[in-house]
Amino acid sequence: MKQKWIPIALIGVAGAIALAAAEMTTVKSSSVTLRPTPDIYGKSIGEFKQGTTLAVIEKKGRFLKVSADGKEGWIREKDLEPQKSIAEAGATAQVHSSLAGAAEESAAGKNLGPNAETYAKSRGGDPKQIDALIERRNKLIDSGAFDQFAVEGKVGRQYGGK
Amino acid sequence: MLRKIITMAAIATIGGLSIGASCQKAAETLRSSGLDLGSSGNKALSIGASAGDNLINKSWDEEDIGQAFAVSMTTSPGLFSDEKLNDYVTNVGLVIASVSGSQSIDFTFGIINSNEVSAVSGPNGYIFISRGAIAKMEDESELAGVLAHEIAHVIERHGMKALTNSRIGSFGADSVKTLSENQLVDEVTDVLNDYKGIVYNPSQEGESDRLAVKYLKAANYNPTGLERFIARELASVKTDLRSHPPTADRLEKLKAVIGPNPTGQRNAERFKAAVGK
Repeated sequence: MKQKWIPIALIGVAGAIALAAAEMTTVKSSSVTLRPTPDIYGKSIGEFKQGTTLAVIEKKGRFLKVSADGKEGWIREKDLEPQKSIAEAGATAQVHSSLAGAAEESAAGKNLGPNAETYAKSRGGDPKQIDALIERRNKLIDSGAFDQFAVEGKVGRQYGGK
Repeated sequence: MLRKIITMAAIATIGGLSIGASCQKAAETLRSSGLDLGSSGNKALSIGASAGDNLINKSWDEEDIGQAFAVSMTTSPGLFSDEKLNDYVTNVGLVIASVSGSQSIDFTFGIINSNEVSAVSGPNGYIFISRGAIAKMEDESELAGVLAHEIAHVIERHGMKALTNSRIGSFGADSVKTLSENQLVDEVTDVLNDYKGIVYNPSQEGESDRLAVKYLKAANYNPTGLERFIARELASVKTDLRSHPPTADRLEKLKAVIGPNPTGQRNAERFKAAVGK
């Protein structure tokens, strides 16, 4: 009987170590798109709002594989807060929940950094036009229109390599 | 002046007519501007301004320069806003970008509102192609070929390397100047003009051609798209330029990379429907 308890205790200790080593993060941007591959070219498989707490599974390049609410996929690291232990993340998530929805983006240049906005103001450039290009790209990918375009033309990752 | 610079870059990029002097000119301009352009390596370019009375404390990285480059294209020559054509060009560009293997760059595509035949790429993945270039194309694989060539320039950071190399030896890495906000923007404008004036050397053009063919094959486009477009554009320019040896050499190298019996999609009908031919 005593021998049986030792392995169970060991499993418990291992589980605690694994839990302590797991890392969490929260969504920094107003919303983020969950993708099937660690790049921007896969159709959206979900979306998380600002403040959502996510478990970090792995990192590849500038993308993190995360999971939450039964969904798993890849998100750009720059849209997420720095990774924290589970205990630290709990406190951070509460702060972010109170901020959720409060983020305001300027009508123009929301895809640009402050330096480029300064440049645009001083040189009469139109950040809205660059926003439009970026949003067009994201919409084509997220809506599945890009996937459809590739299939109809028999081009893209699934057809190449010849 | 800007139009002239863009045209020169486009000739070098699309037509492959290496002019050769622009990098030298860029280096001279940078030397006279006194910019701090950081050190070599990834994300090398940084333009700094230190704090002081009525002054600012800011630095510009490669992403900032890329964004400013894109914004500058909205002022001159300006962008073409046709929704359908922009969707089409973006989709073709995304097909190539998705097979390029680059996870670190989110490529963005736009159409320059100009009848001149040109294509330019900015830091961090901003690719622009002119209406004039699209009008001269015959199928989707040619558009894909030109976009693939520009994507390769960005991934290999040819433009950024040229800018960075042009200032090494001229300044110390820590020679950040004290500038006002307006002065800093002036300096950035100079850098952008230099960037647009860069004429890539034959080695860089060759590398981008080779990678473009690789991307075309990986995406199942006919890999002759770029070569056919360059050859046809070359036939329309003056004889003395057409016989320029490096260009003939470049076309031969392209054919060698393409290999015998190339296959893959040209999608001519879809292209014509999208561009209204």
